[in-house]
Amino acid sequence: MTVAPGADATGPAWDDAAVHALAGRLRLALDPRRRLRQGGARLGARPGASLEFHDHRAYQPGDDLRHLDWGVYARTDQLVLRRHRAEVSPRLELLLDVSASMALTPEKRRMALALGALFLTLARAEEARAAVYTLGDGVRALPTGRDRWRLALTQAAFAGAAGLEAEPLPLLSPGAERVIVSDGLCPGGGAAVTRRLGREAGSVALVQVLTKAELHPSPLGPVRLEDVEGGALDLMVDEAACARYRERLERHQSEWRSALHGRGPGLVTVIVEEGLEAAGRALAAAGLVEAVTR
Amino acid sequence: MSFGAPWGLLALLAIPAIVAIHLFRRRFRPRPTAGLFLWGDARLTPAAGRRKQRLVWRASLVFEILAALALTWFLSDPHLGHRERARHLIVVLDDRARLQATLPDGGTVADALRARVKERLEALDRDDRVTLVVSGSPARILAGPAARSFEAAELLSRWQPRAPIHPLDDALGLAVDLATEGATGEQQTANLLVVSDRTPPGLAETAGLLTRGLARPASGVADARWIRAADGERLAVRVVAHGAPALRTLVVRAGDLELARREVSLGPEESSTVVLGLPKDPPETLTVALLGEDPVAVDDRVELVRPPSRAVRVAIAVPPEVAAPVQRALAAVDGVTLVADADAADLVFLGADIPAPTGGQAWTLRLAPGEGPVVIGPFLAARGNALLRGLDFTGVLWVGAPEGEGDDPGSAVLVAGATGLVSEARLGRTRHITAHLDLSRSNIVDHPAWPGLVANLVAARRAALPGPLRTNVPLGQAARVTVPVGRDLLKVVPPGGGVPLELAADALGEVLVPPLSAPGEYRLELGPDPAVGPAPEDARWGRMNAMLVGPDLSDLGGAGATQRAPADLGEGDVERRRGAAAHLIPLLIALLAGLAAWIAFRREERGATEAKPSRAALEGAR
Repeated sequence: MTVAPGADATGPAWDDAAVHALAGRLRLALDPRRRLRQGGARLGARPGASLEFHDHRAYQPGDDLRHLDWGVYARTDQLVLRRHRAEVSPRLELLLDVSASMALTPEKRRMALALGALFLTLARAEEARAAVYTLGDGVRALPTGRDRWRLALTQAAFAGAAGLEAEPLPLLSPGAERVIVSDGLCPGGGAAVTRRLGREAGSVALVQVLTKAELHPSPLGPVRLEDVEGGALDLMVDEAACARYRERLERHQSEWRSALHGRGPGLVTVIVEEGLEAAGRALAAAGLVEAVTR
Repeated sequence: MSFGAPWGLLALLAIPAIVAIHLFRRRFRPRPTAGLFLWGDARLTPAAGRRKQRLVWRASLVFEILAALALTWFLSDPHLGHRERARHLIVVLDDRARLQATLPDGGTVADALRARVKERLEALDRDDRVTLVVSGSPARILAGPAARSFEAAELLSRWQPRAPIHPLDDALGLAVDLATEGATGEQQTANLLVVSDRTPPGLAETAGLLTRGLARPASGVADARWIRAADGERLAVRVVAHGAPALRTLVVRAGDLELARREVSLGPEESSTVVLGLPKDPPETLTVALLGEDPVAVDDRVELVRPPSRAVRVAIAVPPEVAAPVQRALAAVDGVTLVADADAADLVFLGADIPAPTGGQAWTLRLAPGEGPVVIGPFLAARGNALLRGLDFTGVLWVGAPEGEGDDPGSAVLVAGATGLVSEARLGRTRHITAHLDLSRSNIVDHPAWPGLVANLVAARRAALPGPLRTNVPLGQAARVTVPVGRDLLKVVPPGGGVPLELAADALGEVLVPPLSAPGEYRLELGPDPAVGPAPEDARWGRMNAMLVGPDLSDLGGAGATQRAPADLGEGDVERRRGAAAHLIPLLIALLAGLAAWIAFRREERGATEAKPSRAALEGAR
């Protein structure tokens, strides 16, 4: 049964139809080298108990005699062990930033939830085990059971200023594919967050959700910039101020990229106004998901 | 300048508050953002505790201050001059109906006085105040206290004297109270003007006087009664003449049908009672009119309503040998109806061994002869007992007295020496009388004391019957009404409805209705019956008719025209009153300024509103 995402005064929490449509064309791009747990639906990089042949190796005392290749023995008189590829079950850990800044506009909030729904739908389609944590004014683990995550995600409260720096640290599994959905606008920069949330991860990626105004601000004249997470600044927002803003944003994003370098797909920037399809393309381009034909 | 309510000036404190708010009001349009740190290195200003900034005189600030000033004006009521010290004229209007006497020019005394008073009111200054006091028992205020002159003039035009004769003392006392109200000591700060058809006795020298009248001979109905007797119904009308002999024609009409006519000739200051017989089964309402020229017409015509029958139902349950003297005595008493059923009787004569009727409210007289010696006197009657009022037992051979002193319950009302002959026991509102008397052997049956005793008993029982003692009551006279057993509340509903008088009955079920103020038929209703529940709406139980009659109503002797201006006592403290419109102007300005301030504020913030994300976004952010 599909639970329709709840609606509030700003409309539905996310466009479930669009998420399903997009999820039908994508699959998680998981790195088989990082699978640890066995018994899943995917073929792992290591030998295991699937039906798919992996390789042969010489018998060693203690090996399971059921795996001896008797055909080779008949032909060569050598005890050779027939090995099959292991079936693995990948683990996806979704860290969803639900601080106040993620609800700066209803569209930004919806995009964040839609991305979360997309990743969880893809994980479910591949029978991957998934864990979801929301990080707002605290850390909360959401249920991931069949469709239970939908209601939990719908009811996620976007509040607080801590976001990705919220305490306590969630119980993260070593080797898991870790996806952070956030605007990444942490004054402390991405390095500290990556160190904290990316520890022992198989891979870690930041899906940065930004509005066009956050990415490319335009002159506004004299305004009082009020941070939804606290603080205000009276500023003449002219071309020069916008240029300085863009420069600082690029520097901030560079810090994120550096911090994520070598740990997976890295930083993927999603522009809210461009919609979920464009977001899917950006995720595929970054290698976080891959297109499939079904 | 002075202030009506100086505490209202506290509203001025709103102005520094408004200025303070504007000093701290932000100048930049608010713009929510998520990455404030990306905008620069300038220090962050906390959203709370904003800095004080230069005051900018914007439209919203001006309108808000204007609203505060208007509100202060409304609350403190500033004014130039002595609004609270204006001349105050208190006019006492004689409300006695004889002021409706006509004058030779065809108008009435009241019309002439009304016109003169109006002239005086119109001559007053704009800020002067007027109080109109109408005489009566009690006096009442027609206009004011301290009304504006045009308000008083309007109310004066509706004034019509219609009260019975009463002294003006109450009205004069009320006027003096109003005149000295707020003054120190006995100092009078208002001018007093008495308006009547004659000079009231003992009027103060400082009081003005305006009289208009003419001492003319007049006559009228002084009283009228509708009597229901065993031998038929009749009207008793008392007519009085003042000033000169009068020859009037008294006519009784039922609608347009004339039932009786009688010429009445009276000497000056003489009254005569005319008794007019009525046909059997007369109509419920009759009109009595005095025909002929008369300057006072209000007491020449009076409506009467038919009173309910107050016959006493009597049952006789005595031995046959004494029944005859009882019947003979009852036959001599008016208003008695003999009934066979003792349970349906109001009064029962009982033999010695015959049980009293059960459950009813009947009074009883038990004839219980004793074995004592014959008593020839002297007889001693209890003082003030209505049963023995006017009776003299001298010459009576009282047979049947008890042996010894007797042991009757209740109190003895007639004794001979130590022997109680007649005793009375009261049980609730019923009376049980025991007479130790042998009517078959005593000579009292041939003595005037016996029918007198029976007549007194019947009269006392009649007085205790439920209903008004008198149905047609002259205005200004109190009336007595007895309510049925079990009821303790009487409502007197004025003619044409209005607020009813609710009067409680005493232990005997009697209600004293105070003097009624307006002529006409009053509806009598009983309060709820505790045994049944609330009384139904419009539960008419009886009626009373108030008549505008009186012996002095047509007395125009002493009437005359006088004019004496009141002593000008200068300005007095009067209740401050403003016209409704003038009172509301500052409040209206305050409301308009407040509305304008709100609109201006919205316009000033419009840019900020456009720059803001949607409200939903902010709610989501929260």
